[in-house]
Amino acid sequence: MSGTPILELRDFRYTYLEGTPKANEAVRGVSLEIQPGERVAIVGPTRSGKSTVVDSFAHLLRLKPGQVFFEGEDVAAPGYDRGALRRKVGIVFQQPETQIVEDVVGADVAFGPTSAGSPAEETRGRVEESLDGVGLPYRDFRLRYVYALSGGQRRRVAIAGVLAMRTPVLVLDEPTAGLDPRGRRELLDLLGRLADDRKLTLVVCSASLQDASLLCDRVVVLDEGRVVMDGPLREVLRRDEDLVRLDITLPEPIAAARELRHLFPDLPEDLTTEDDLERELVQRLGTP
Amino acid sequence: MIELDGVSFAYRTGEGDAVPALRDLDLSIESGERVAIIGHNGSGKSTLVKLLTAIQYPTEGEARIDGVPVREENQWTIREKVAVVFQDPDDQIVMTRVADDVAFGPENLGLPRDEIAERVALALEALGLESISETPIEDLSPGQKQRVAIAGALAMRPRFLILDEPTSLLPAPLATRLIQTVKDLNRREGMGVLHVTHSMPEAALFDRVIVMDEGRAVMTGTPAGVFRRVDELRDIGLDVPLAASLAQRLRSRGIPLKGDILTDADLREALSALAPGDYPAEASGP
Repeated sequence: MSGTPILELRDFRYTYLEGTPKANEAVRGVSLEIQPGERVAIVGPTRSGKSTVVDSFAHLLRLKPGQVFFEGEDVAAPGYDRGALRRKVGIVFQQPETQIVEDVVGADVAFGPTSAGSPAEETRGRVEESLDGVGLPYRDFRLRYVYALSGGQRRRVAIAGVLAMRTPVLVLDEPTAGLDPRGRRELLDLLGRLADDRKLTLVVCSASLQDASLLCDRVVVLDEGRVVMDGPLREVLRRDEDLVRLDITLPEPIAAARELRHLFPDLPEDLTTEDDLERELVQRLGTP
Repeated sequence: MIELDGVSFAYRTGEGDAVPALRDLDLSIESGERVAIIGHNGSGKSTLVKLLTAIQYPTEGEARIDGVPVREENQWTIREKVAVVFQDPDDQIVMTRVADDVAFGPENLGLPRDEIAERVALALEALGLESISETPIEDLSPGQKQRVAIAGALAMRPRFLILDEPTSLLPAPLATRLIQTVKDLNRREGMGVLHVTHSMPEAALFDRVIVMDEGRAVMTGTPAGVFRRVDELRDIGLDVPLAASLAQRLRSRGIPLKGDILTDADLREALSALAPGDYPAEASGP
């Protein structure tokens, strides 16, 4: 791939509480280029450094110059406009429903654009577009109380709040944790569709490859603050033994295929759907 | 035991209407039973947990825990009988060191010091936390924190332990290990366990599965019985473990898989038990 990456980490290192006895080296030299329009999963076990990488994209850390770049610009350079960065990179943190700030749905989604100085009429349009986009129709939901919504609906309200900022980059940390199977499928479909329609760059951070396998085409695996794999989804999935050793949750079909390989040693490693696995088994069992 | 007779509960909305979260729910759970409760977001699972822990009270009908009605005047009795572990351990850990946090509940029951020390020691041991009993909470991993939260609940010596999606923020291998620990505790301590989850593979590890939809219990039975109803579950936004669904697909193609198939290991076993001649001869199978 060529051109200026939209996000880039150059030998990014980060130590919490640096210089104290509790210093904790979370990221130990991560280099990563993300091109506009890419859909990248950042996957790793707990404490692999992935949340620190997410925080670096939002410039929520005391970054040193020369490590984190947005559209080729060093975000830690003196005078860099962090406000502008936050209007370009939208972040959906883990359990985003816990950071809903208003009682009423419409007001919460409007909070970001209003704070960023968007005029009332434009904000109204953004709120409508974002709520409709997450499947909570504006007309039915704008006046509903947040506390009377289900967990899945609150998650969507929080995501709508980030979408209303119309950022070209969307970073999501464990976006489907706690959602039921249908809610999870719908959210993944929604994110895929939004990424298509708005040509978004997506970064999905997770300890599981379940979601990543349905949403992303590139996977970066972190362990102990370093990149241990980076490549196309199917290539990474082929290294299932390494992934299991890292406590990374495999997609269900891949996990099942691992078990069934005791019987059928030649089952392929990159079966991402139940249909794929069924087809391969039927072939081996020889039924019509 | 836990008994619910015609329990209804409604939340108020902004427009003044009441949104029913539980509708005329009848349910009974024996002491010592291990039950998984599944249902989509908004099906009433969390409201049920709030009623069983005396955080909310039924709008209609009656809920009883060991015969004690869930009403405001009984809230402390109920909370001694039922302990709950939430999704995010940070929501319920209150002290800065592991052992202090586990001791917090028993201390508030006003128990003698010796008994508190004994309960804490046993709870730490049950969750494998002895070696980190003096560790600051902030140094723990998410999986360790969730163990501390469970140890804290256990130290209350409840009749029922409710786990409200405690694994949804953990990687699947850690979640499975945690469920195994809880099952061992159930065997040793004899307390009932209610596990609220969105993970169908986890639900399959329990003795009974209750499926909630629209504030009602719409199915109840063994995991094998419930997960056989693939289409009905998908209609209400749920799923079944992949092995169960795949087994059903293969059976419908005439492959005679025997037994209950809920896990990948079950599927492997059933496939390896197929005799030659059970399926057309050109098989390149085992």
